[in-house]
Amino acid sequence: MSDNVYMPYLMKITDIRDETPDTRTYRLEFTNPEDAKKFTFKAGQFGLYSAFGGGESTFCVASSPTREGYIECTFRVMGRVTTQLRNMNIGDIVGFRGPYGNSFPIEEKFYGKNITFIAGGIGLAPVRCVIWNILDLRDKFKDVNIVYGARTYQDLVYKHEIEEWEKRKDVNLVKTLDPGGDKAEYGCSGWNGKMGFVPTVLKESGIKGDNGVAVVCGPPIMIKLTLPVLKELGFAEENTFTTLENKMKCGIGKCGRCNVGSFYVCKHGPVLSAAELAQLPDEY
Amino acid sequence: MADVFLTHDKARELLIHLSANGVEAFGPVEKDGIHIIEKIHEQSPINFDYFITTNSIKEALFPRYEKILSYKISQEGVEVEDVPLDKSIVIMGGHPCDAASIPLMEKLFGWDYKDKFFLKRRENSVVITLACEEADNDCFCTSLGYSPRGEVGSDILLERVSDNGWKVKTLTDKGKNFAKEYADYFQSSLEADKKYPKLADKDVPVQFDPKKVKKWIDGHFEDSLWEKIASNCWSCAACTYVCPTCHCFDITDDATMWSGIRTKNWDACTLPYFTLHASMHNPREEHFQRYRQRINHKYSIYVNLFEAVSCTGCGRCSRACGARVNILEAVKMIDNAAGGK
Repeated sequence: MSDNVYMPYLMKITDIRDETPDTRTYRLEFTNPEDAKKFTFKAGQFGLYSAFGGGESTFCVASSPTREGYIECTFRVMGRVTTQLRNMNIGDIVGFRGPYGNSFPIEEKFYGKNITFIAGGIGLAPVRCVIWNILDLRDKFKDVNIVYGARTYQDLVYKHEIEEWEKRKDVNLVKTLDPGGDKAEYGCSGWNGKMGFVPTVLKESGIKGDNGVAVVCGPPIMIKLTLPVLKELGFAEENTFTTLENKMKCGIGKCGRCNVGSFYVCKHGPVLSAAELAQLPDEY
Repeated sequence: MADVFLTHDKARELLIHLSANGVEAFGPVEKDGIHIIEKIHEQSPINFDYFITTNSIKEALFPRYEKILSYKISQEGVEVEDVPLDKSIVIMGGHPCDAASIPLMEKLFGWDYKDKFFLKRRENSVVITLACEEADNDCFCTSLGYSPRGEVGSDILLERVSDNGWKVKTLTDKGKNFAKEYADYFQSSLEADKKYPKLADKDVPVQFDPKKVKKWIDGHFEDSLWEKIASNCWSCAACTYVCPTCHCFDITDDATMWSGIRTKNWDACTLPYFTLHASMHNPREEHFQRYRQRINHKYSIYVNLFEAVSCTGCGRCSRACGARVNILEAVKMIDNAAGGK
């Protein structure tokens, strides 16, 4: 391996799934079998994905570490790099640096607990990694609840997997759309989930925080409004986890832009508990 | 050991000789009345008569624009190539406040992931520093425990003894080997001139206590003083470019359809787009938030991470500021807010 920390692995796109009109999932496999053999990661870690010629962009690894041989990433087309990534096809080469950052303390804190996932929009990507991680080791955990919401039907990502989780007897799934999100223009015909914002739906879901761990990811406003609800439901702040997202360039603590006070999202995060989050200055 | 001296003329010759022989030689040149440190070539107007160079020696080890890899794209796939870093580097002309920045930057670039672009350059470099002859009101190295004659980070220290020369003090094995290898350029005597007295620490008075400053910063993330301090800031980032310890960078691709390079470029926490998310959310939207980040990073965050203040008191940011934002005044205001001296 090169001593150049900015050198990416080369990965081939082996599967493409369009989640929404502007959100896409790639399955990526190492072109070098040696890299594949050595590579490991943990739920919650992220990487820098590059479109050669466009640059690098930071996303979480959206697949579970229990599924070996590939990683998946889900991204929304926003700028130069994601636009170029979006225009790629099966067989094309993407660069990947990582895995970086810390991870969800699954063994230490999740084993033997009731696990509740709360996600909004594309925030399901980092949560999906943990969901599959937990479901692949299902007998180590008690109840599994998933509360997932999006602005409209069109903005729901991983629709097939939501259906799959919904069918499972060992998963309690609550899905919701923001008011007005079930219109036909969003491709929705006969919505069988809830209507309402995630924090409200969570509050009325009957989920309890006893012996529970919560994982929350989504738009900042959703996280902000969800944390007090979790507290009300009895989840301890130490057992409520979320991830921080900030602009990153290096991913390895050098480039100086992702820090919130002395907390470097790339090095000390991206995963942190609500208790830790409360200690940070309000600048994220 | 016998005294060794170096004249300005010989130093000029040496730098040009080095640059002609495959060494990346950095030295002070005079351009339009200002002095800057830059890569020397045969015609460089090298000049050693200055108070302080406008820029720092930073770009010798951390170039403003630097290739970190290159790639070729073809129908078969992508081929990525690393960048070799084998050139010897000689940096002459900085002051002790420049050299002191090197061990500080080393902490960051060696933090867990080793950034070879800085570390390898550092390893390959000989740092020849000019002890200070004068100080101005923006200088405050002593407040951070440094000295106008400080040796931190240097391999050789040159102390001015006449109009045309210095007494040579070799500080490290690297410095000793360099002086031996280029012994022809050095000499064993030089007539000293009394008009070059040594600048002492007391000539640069201590003006604040960095420990107290950190303590205040840690307890006052939200404080109106930040807005007051940064009220003139234009967010132009000149302060960060001349700073010997500012290290924030961007990574971008420069490419055509079939080939390209990836580069590391200087960036600055004081620029508005620095932290801008793709969603247009910006955690540091206001001038004061960005200026707070700059001071906080240097005086508190860096201390938390690496037990050192990331500032050497060179005062360049104050001199470079078109809006007269002055870091020494800012830190003194904080020091005062923390309860005076």
